[in-house]
Amino acid sequence: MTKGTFWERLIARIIDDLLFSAVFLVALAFIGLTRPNLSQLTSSLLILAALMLNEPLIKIAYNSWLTSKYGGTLGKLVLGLEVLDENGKKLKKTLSIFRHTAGYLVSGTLFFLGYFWILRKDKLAWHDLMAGTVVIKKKPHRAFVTAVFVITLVTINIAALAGIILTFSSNQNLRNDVEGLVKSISSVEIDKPTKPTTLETV
Amino acid sequence: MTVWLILGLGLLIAIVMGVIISLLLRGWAVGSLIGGTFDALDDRNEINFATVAMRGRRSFKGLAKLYFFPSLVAALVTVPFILTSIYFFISNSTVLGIIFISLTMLILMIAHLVIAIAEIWAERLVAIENMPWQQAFWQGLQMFKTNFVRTMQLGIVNCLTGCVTGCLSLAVIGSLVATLVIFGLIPIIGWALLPLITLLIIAILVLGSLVTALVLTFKYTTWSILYRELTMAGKEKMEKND
Repeated sequence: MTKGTFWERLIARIIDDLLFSAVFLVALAFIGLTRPNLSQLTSSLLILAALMLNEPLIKIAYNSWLTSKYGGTLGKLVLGLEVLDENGKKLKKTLSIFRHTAGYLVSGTLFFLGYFWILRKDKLAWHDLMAGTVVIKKKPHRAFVTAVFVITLVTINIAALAGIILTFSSNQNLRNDVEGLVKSISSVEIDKPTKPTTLETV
Repeated sequence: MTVWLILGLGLLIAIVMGVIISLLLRGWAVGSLIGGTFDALDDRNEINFATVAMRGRRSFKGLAKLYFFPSLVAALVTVPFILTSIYFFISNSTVLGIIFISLTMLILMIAHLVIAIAEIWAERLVAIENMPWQQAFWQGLQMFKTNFVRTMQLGIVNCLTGCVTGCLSLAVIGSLVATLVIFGLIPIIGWALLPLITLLIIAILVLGSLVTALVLTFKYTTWSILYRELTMAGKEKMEKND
């Protein structure tokens, strides 16, 4: 049973993070496509902010559910990695939640030292030691599939980012609203010093 | 309006999840520490991160419940008092409002004192004896009553240890910061000290958490040793009576 290395697990994590950022950027690009005015954009961004606030919760649910159901997150499955418990079985839901909440939190302390622990001989992170789990290499030689996934996700991220820039920069409604807002703010500031002048003339 | 409601709901969910996770994490950490101490005292297991973490996994749910439910009950008890004081403030009876607010604070203080006292022994009863949290809570209070003097003695020792360590750490940090400030006032040296200041801040953060961890470990270990002595003495007494 070969254990997953630090670099394989890092790439798996990068794939998962790229997936999350792709979802966020695509959502933002879709908002841009609807050509919103300032108030519509504010509403959409506030809903997105509510989602972003719960991003850790969404990530915990994603990690825990996929790991207990399929043995790993998308990133790990792409790299042919599987998370197993002490008995060599897939994790139970509670153990999976524990690994991905308390475990990840502890591993993240002291400058992510718990993750760098994988570089040791036993290839176990602090969250593995805490939950009594091990990440094994179930399917070796997945370089091609991994490359395809990484390139696809990077492309989606870049395309979504470009989409956001293009749609927002060509949105005339939004530009007018912002210009109007800037004008109203600057006119308030200009009005202020007129009062003492009136007093002086009096 | 709906958008703000969604944002509020999102914030609420994030806070609730944060509380739940911190309770679970505290439960695991305390369970590991107590379990590890007992394993070390009994020479039962090889003591390392993995074996100690396993002990924590067995008891973290019970401990999280022990931390959550008594505090929830204490908070719920104060709700009628808070509502009454709000009513008095609205109806311009400021004096009565202040009296009720003071009463609320007093109740909260007493409740948290009782909870803290009960938790000293209840944590060990949950982690070592696998007792349900309610039973452990009441038995913890009972243990405090029957072993009042020894509990207070160790409480004072632990408090003093915490105070002395805190003061010493503050003195060390203070003198380091003061030296840097003095050198920083010299114009040429000032900018050159910037990387050193950054390193110092990081070092203070890391060392601060390490010192806190040391003090906490000392406290939990001494309480565990006393618990072991008390329970062993109790068992011996029972065996003699039999």
